[in-house]
Amino acid sequence: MVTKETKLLENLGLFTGMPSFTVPVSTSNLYLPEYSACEALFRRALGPDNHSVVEELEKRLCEFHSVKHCISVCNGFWALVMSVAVLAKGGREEVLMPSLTYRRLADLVSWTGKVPHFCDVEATSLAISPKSIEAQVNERVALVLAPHPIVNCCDVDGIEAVCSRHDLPVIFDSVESVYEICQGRRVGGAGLAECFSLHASKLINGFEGGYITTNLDWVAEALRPAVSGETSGTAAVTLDLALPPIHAAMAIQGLKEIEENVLHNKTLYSAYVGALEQLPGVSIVEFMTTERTSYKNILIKIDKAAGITRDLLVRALNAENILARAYYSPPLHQKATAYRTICGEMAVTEDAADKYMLLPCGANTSTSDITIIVELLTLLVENGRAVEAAWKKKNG
Amino acid sequence: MVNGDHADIFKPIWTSGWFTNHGPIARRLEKELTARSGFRECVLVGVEAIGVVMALDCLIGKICVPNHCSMTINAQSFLNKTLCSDARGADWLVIRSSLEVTNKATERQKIALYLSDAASIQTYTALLLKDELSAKILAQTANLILFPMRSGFTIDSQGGVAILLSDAGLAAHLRNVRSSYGAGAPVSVGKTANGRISEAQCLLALSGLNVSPGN
Repeated sequence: MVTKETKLLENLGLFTGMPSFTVPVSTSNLYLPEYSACEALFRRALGPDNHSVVEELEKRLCEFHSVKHCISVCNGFWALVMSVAVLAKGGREEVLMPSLTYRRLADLVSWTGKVPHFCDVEATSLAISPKSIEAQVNERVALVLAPHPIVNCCDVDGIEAVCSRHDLPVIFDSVESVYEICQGRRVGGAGLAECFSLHASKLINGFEGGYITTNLDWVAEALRPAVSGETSGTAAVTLDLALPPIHAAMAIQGLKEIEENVLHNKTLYSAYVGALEQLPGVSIVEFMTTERTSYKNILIKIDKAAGITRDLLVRALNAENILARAYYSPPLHQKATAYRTICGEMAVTEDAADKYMLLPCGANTSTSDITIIVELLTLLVENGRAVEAAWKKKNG
Repeated sequence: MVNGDHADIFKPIWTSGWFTNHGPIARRLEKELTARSGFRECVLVGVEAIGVVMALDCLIGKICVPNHCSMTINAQSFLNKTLCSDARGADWLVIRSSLEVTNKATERQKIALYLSDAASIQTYTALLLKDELSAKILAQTANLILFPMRSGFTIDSQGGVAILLSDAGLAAHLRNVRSSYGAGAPVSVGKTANGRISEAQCLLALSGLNVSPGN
């Protein structure tokens, strides 16, 4: 019998190859200011005094994060590489970090010659925690690399305390937490240093770029020569990783417009929260609104009650040009690498690995897009078993 | 030379709507550089130092680089890799005799030539043709060339570098290490780095070549 649902399912992009959206909707922030607003900054970035644009960005970011030092770098990846290279304890080889995180985080550690040592995450925050650090810490650990998760922040106070107790340096990867206030403190001044990205997919779009913030003079004094490429200095390693002035110009304008950017994200987040409320097996990871947050990413959890796996859901939405993404999948400890890694207990990570996914958001997504996305999501979830069966049949 | 009067060169980013990395403008620049250099592949990297690190890391065997250049010295130190530094002082090119000696060591070795500067790609090619390193030798001997595109150079992308080579496999490897596939299919690499070049940087470089991104 051909039911209404069967008919609807037959029309899914997964089976027809015809997507709902002609232009893909992505999970990236992609905030682009008006060209006219950037023009004067671009002019300066091409002029003889273009380094002043980079200096202005660093000054503005110091004010924004309420920190003493900001060191601009070509991108967030290399901001982290050089921070690990410079700040890790000498004579020790391991960098303690989560496995459920950015797909290149272990790679960046390996560029420093250190060994990634994976630890578990905490179930609610999906972040590295004081407990997960304590469970894996040993005398070979040279540094703790603590990334803030996609939604909300990790327990900064707790992580600083446990690292202090073990006399270990800690760096926060704050790429996803530019705007956040965490435990009463603005993100930027915790640990020895915090690292950020200015990629177009991030909250502040500098086309590409990154920066490091710190309140510690000695850390800034150690990091500046390391990213300058100046061989006459005292840095043991140094690479010229300067931020191009044109990227700094774009980032300044992005920073000026950050409140509009966050307001749009909040509107989208509220639309998702309302629309997903009644959908069985699907829950949104909520932002902690008691502290300042950017509402930048939309993360949902898919439980068994959904009747469809997270992976098929992602595939089905992708076929509609909805560029939903599995959350940090696979976790890093399950990936083949060209370098040695160490893996601790991963119960929470492995349990979470196939349950979470990111939904479209950012400047190019509208609330009417969300209506369509949630309608499709609802159709897929409410007919989960039928979709799974049809997909299996299609693929033999 | 591009200056503040040319701020409108970035408008195509707003027109194309592609304002991340390795979009249509980067592909246009890659095409232009391969056509002018005679190499079959061009891998653009947003930061010269990262381009040097990536290239030196992926090359196999004894690597010969100029010893005058801080960029290669820093990369060598960062990678903790032993390099051969036998270069001619006048133009920093690796001397031919050292290449020939190095070539006898193993068939699998790769050699990096690092150029300090060139007025343009045409001039650079002409320099090679006039020099003892002919284009033929270059094609047979050099596995890749790093062509800097930074301030003060004719082609300025505010810090990027073009890796020019003809080995498609090595190019694919480098693209994947760079974190953005660009042209070609993804291949498996042991580790990646972020070496992505922005569309804005590529517009700057194209402007230096007097090429319209739309051509």
